[in-house]
Amino acid sequence: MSASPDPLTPLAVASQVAVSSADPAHERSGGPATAPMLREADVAVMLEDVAAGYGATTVLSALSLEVARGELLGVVGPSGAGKTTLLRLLTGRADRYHGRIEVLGRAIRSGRAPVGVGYVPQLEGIDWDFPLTVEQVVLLGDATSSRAVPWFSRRERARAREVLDQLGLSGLHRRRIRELSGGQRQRMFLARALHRRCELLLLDEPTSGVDLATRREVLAALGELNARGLTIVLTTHDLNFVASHLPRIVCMNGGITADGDPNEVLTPTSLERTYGAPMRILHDRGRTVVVDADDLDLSPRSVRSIHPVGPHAVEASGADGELWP
Amino acid sequence: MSAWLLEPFQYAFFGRAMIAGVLIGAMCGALSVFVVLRRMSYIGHGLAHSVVGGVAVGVAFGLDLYVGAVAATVVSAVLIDRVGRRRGLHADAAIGIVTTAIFAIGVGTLSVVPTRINVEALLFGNILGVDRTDLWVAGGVGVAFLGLLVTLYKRLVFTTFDPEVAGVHGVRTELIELLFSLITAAVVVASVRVLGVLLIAAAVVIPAAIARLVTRSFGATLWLATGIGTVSSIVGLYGSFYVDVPSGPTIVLTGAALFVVVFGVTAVTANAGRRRVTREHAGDDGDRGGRGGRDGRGAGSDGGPVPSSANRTAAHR
Repeated sequence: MSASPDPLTPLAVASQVAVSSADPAHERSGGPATAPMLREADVAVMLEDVAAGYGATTVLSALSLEVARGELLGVVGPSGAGKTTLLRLLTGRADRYHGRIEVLGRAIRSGRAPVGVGYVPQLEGIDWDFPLTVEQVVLLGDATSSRAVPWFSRRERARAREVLDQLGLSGLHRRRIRELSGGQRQRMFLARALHRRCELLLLDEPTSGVDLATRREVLAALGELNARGLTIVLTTHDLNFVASHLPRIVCMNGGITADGDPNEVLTPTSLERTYGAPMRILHDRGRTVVVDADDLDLSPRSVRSIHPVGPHAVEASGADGELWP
Repeated sequence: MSAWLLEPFQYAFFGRAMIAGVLIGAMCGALSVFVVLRRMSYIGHGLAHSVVGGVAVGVAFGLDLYVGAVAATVVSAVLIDRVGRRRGLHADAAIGIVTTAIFAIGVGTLSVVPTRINVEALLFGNILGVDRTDLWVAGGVGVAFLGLLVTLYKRLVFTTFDPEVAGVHGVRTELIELLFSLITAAVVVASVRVLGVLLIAAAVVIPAAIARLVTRSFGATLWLATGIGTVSSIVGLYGSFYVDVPSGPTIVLTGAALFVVVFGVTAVTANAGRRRVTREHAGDDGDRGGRGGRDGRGAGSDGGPVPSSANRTAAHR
């Protein structure tokens, strides 16, 4: 990966690509989707009036969504809103009761793996003591195309190292996976997805449980991949992450509650509809920041009784942001 | 020494037992890697228990020992696979329900229908009982296992490491898991004669547990576990011959003793390494104390504070 003075710069490049192909922000009120009409060849993901869930439990209903090729989309919503179910639908791993789903021009059928899709799971579910090296994990990403022998060819190894180099993991191919930092682990999984030559990358909570530095590292990697034309759909709980860095977000709670440019979609009304809790929006130096509403019992008096007010607390309360609306 | 090693081979049964033991030891060793990494250590225990049910019912109906054993373990493996897929249930619950139920059927059958089953040999293994059929069964299962391992190795490893992503990336994980369950059942059936029902569980756990203590890569773990399984079988069979106890306990005790040794050595090595690093840091602090002055700052070019030895030692942990 080439060095960049600001690791988030690639996302700005990506946003220009994506915004040009996406509809202006539009909030939805439960009615039919007003997704932009894209030429079929430009569509990476298409869901039309989909209802889905697990067994007899419906998680998503009346879901319609289009994601253009080359777009970078963030999906937000409360726990249980159906974010992960959306990803599972796109990979044929959730029960679809109604509707049509196409990924990269091919209809998705339950239980069938989609073609050209890479998936990056949550880091929490992985056994990091598993005796694999970084290179072996990346090579497994394309296991189905590999010959039916227990070893990988020299060409496959060379390609895996090339992908690792692209993601800034040069020289780490022999390292055990448990010896990697959080950001390196995410990039290793990105490399595994890319090794499959995917055109669509799905990420489940890539910023969950990682520190700020790791988040920047992951963001920079995603930005660069998106700038190269890879379509990316990610779920996250981190509203400020999507507000600051992604060109388009979809708010979900059993269906789509809002869809569009974060600066226009993230309003107290849409957030309350999505999360069922009041929130406020701050605009600070061109960035949108979502904060809790003031009605929680966190008055200075009660806070002071727990932690003495220090210089940082004063600084936070005196932020020169504009409360909106 | 060589006379001591060769003497048992004067008896035909020992030669057969050794062939079966080597095959079974290698298979259990290789299998143990997948069993341990999938956290399904009780799969061997459960399937072996279901063998009792199958053997008892089969013999009660006048069938060969293997017919009942194969039927019971295949049914168990398929049911464990199916039950374990239901949301809210995991493999351990499925193993507990399915295999215990089949075991209970066997115990009930044994108490109602009089059979001529040698219960001690069934439970603890008996090298005297290894016949040509056992060798054919062990050989056949060995060939099938090797074929599966060679052709599906990458898919097996991917499914074991990250089944969710393996499925998205085109691996037919359900089929792989079913095949794994079936081959586990086959290995268990082939092992009953030498290891006995109650001791198979250890044979499909101990080799991988030892190998994981000393290896870094999956391939090395697999090779080492296979070797440990084989060596445990060979040593255990000699033990069974000379001490005159059932072969199952001697094989398992050999593996367990090896585990204790490796565990102890690796623990001592790790402690020594920790002490060495602590000493190095203490030495650094001494040097720095001489140069750094009263404020505790080191001599770094940026003049920043140097963390205390205790903090850095904690960070190394």
